[in-house]
Amino acid sequence: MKTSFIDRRALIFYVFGIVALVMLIPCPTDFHYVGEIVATAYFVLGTFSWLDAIFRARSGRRK
Amino acid sequence: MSDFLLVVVIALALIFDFVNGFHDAANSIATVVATRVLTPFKAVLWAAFWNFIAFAVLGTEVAKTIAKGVIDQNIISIGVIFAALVGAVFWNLLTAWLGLPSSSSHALIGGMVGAGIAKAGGHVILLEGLKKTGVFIIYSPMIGLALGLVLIIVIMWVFSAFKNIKMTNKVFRRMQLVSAAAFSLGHGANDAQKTMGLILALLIGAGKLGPDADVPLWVVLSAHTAIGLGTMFGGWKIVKTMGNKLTRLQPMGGFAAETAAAVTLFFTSAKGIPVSTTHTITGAIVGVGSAQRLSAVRWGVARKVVWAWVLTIPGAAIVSGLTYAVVAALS
Repeated sequence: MKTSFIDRRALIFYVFGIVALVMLIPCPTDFHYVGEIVATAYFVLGTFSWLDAIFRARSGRRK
Repeated sequence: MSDFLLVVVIALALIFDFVNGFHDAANSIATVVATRVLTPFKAVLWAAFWNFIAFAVLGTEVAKTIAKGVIDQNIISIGVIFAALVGAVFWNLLTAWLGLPSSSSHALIGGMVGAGIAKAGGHVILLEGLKKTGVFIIYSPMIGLALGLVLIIVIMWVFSAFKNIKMTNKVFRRMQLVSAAAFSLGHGANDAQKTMGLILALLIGAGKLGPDADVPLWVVLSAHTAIGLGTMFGGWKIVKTMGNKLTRLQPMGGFAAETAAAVTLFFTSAKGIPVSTTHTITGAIVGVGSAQRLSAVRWGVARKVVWAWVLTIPGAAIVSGLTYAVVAALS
């Protein structure tokens, strides 16, 4: 079975988190908090998605 | 003569708003139609009603950003606004014909930038306003996606206790009427204001209003009427792309996507940020789809959408710049 270090969805969310952080550079200071919240949300979503993939893989192996 | 031209360009701005309704407002009802909650005809009537009502609910901050925050007010003339509109309308019609869900809002901003540069050079661009808009080209779909994903996960958790899937879907079919209304409200607020902003800029540029003037009520009402009528005529090709091709949605997913997009639009409208309703609902639909599995999202279509986003501002700017050059040569 083909396995990978990180779940593809988690990876995409981490990339989105990084994009949100990069966008803080041109972002007007009044809206920095939006970028910070978006970045944090994507890092959290990425982590949950990764954990979800790990648990799914383990429960799949048990079966 | 200049008053006659002013009226002609205001009429053109309202036609742009109508086309915007035709092109963009279809997004309001894509999920409702895709999940067969309403027939296409009833759905457009529902969306048009809420598009119109939006004027009474949310302010005019977006209109002020368009009128005073994209290009230097001092260079705005009838020719500049005319060229901006031609660029935006041309781009909208081209992408509608190609079935690409691009952004009318960014087409308009691109149009203003192109016409402004053609008239007086790059220094007329107001970077703060343009940066705010540019950054939210990226942020608005990202917010929609994250909210859509979180919302659908919460809903699935809450409703997993109820084993009756048929009953759950029935509940969400009804709730989608509320979420579609909320999204149409957000759409009406954000998109109709772009036309208001354009007309406000035109009236200030023509000396009919002072530089600190607010949006006159007749402008507010006529912009909402135009977008409401445009919605009624709908852009079916785009409804099909948004509702069916991106990911297949159940009523629960439709509700989550529309609610997530509506929240994003309420926030951006309140903060005076012109965003694309297309970007926002696309992000939300992808978010909902990705909660199930990533392969539920049709990435090929999503990529096509991203290309439309990337090309819109430069495309509309080039057309409007050329239009301004022709107008200037003729006058």
